[in-house]
Amino acid sequence: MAGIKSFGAYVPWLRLSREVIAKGWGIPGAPGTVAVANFDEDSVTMAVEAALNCVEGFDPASIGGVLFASTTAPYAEKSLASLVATVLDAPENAHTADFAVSLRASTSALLTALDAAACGRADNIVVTAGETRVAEPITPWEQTLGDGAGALLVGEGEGVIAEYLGFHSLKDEIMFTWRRAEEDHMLREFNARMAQSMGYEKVMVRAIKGAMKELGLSPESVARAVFTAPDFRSHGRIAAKCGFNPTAGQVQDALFAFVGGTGTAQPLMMMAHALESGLKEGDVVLLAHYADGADVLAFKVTGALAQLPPRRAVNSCLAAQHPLDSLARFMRYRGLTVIPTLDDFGSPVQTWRDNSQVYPLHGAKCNKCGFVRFPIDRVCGRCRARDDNTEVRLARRGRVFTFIHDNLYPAVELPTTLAVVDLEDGARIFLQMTDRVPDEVEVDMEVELTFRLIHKGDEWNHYFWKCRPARRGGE
Amino acid sequence: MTCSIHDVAIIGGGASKVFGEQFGKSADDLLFEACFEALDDAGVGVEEIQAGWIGIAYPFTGLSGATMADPIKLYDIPITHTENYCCSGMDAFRNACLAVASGMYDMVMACGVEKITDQGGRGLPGLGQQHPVIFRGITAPSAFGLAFERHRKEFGLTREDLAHVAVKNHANGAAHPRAHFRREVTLEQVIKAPSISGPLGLLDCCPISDGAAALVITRKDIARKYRDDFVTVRALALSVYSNWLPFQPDFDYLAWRPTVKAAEQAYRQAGIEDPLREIDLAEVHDCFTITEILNIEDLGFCRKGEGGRFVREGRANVDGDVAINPSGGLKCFGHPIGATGCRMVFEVMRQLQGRAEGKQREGAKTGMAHNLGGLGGTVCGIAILSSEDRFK
Repeated sequence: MAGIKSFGAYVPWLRLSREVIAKGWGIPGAPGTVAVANFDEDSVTMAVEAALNCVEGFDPASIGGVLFASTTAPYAEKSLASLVATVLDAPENAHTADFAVSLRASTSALLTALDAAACGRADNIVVTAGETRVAEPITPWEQTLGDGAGALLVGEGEGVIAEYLGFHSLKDEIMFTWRRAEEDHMLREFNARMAQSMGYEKVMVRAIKGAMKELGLSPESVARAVFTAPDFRSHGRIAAKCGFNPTAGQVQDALFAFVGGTGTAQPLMMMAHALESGLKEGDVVLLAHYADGADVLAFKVTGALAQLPPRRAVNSCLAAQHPLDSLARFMRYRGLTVIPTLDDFGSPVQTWRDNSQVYPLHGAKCNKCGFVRFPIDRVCGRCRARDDNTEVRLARRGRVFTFIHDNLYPAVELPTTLAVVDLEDGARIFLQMTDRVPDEVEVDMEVELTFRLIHKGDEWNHYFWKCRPARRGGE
Repeated sequence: MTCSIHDVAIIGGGASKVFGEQFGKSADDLLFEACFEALDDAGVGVEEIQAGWIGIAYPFTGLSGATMADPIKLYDIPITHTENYCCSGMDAFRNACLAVASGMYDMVMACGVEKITDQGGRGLPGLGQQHPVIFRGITAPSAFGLAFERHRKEFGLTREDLAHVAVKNHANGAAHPRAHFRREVTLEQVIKAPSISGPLGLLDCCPISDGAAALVITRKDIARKYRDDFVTVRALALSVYSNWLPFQPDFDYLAWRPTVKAAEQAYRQAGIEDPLREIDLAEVHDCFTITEILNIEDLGFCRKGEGGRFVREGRANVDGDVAINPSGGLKCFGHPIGATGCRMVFEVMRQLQGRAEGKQREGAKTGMAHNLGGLGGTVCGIAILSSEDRFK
């Protein structure tokens, strides 16, 4: 039995109210917010966090694959799946693959993982997608697009919480939204009405109906219809056409109210949200995603869902939010205004050498006296034991020993909160603090670690860990 | 002959005419001013110098002993470039003294220079070991300022306590003809200045300055031939800790460990038991106001946690229990890194000779120079000088 074994999601902390966008341009605004990646986040850092939430409680050594999907990956050439797998501490022989270009990259990855699990080629495959699409200012897309990430763990056997029943897929050659590889940073479209009615509505409905017919399902037999949409209105338009009843809780919320359209990540986020929202054994779930064609997958919830320990997905992320009150800051985060470049130092050689310290954040533990420290060194600073360490994964939570809000470091946004943190395993580490309200930072406050973009020195992205005030969720 | 550091004498000192933004001068110009002033002050010809040491922290200022040789044409002798972060100048002085004490040389010169304002950017240019991501974000003021929250929690240190240091040092620096900042500031001005890092505002930070300083060093028995009012060395300490302070679980941010350790060495060498009573003045490393408060405690002038009150009550004033930074310190001279240690020794020498250029500590007989380096205290050098041991 192949299927989904776990789920996770991530929604960035900052929420930009549509009113703030509207006021900024003097145009009408819709209610609600869109989720905005902080300046130190991108599609891959968010996908990392969703994936970490997803594999919480699973042995990293059991991970058989890491598939990363995004149309906004930070590199045009360079695997990010390998980066995500390294941060997750996945074994060297875990299969890594990157899915890109199409907004259906995530469902493509999911199908690949399900096929691999079904044929017994791999187990515990992490499928993760992150998205940070940029809309042209003053277009409706600006109030529609949001940032986020979702992740599903795919495998086979007793741990499957949602058994894979089958899929149905339709192609649709259409100019709906696009970004040219060389020329475009922002989303383009031509005739939204045509695209919505002839593309999304027509093809999505046909695909969902086709899937139900192929799998012998009636609309009534579907406990939860998880279908994505390019925008809020379109989502509302097709439920009835498919025979679903949105008022009876049959239709999964598409997250437009507070998160926005997260492109590739949307189906994984919505599926994660569904799996943490009241599904029970025997429930049939349809997952449908449209982008120049539609992928529809069907699952049946097993008794294992109730056994899966709580984890962080959409609900806990929705609770951790902070208003972004400035359109200017939003535009700066999106690279839509000129910001001073941080002339920082980078060496791919050093980072490669220190891969296990930088990405999965390993430290050294003295075999003689148990002293845990970071970075890894060869002589124990407590007992002077020489070359007698075990490399260990450092704790991801700790307390602030001391901190300062610095205005001198040339960051995208000031101040930079710097913290000296005592991790739960006794290691002490210096980290920048993110997603915090400066006035609320204090000595002894509890923090947790989050994987972020540190700088782009020497023309490549330097990722490392930061800390942030500890959040609830996953307990 | 058998010598010790107590046989080492300083017979001449000099510095760049003024510290500050010397846009019109090169490192060579600054060294020319400092070295020839020191030589002329000693009455020593450049050809009499047998060896040299030059403290420089930044490669862009200059590399190798030739940086010292070229501006004064001191060719064909051993000259060593010392680098030990902000303590580079003090280490040049220390090595020069040790060379004389070893009996290897009779007449040497130590100097230091930094030409920072040829660079762009805000604050000090990057310094020290670098990792692409680990330890990123640290700045000089934040590295020291991280001590504030710990001191506030443990001892109730306040923002005002920090400001009192700036007010005192500005009052001293205002009287010094070579200082970068020659103006007094009020408590209110210090507190209201924009934050550079946490509680450290613009006026809590030393400025970005160029400068140079130089010292002519010989043995006591030779010194007498050049002048009567030379000063002698009582202690030369250096203590090096770690580049990784915020990663050391045992580092409590209550004291700068290298200062504590260097002070232990220095007081042992000098036979000092009660520094507050036995030391008349100290030029200490006040790169930031909070650093001076910890220095005062670490050097044993008061108990741990009482440094803020010590300054607030005027006990660190020029006429207080011990004059802390009678020159105005780094706060007013800035911190041309390689030069600072030598600048401090030069100031202490003039104080002990009773010819301070700024405010004079009356009757000064024993003085200290304290030079701290690294991001929050990696290395500390201390020199204790005396005007009383000349004829011992």
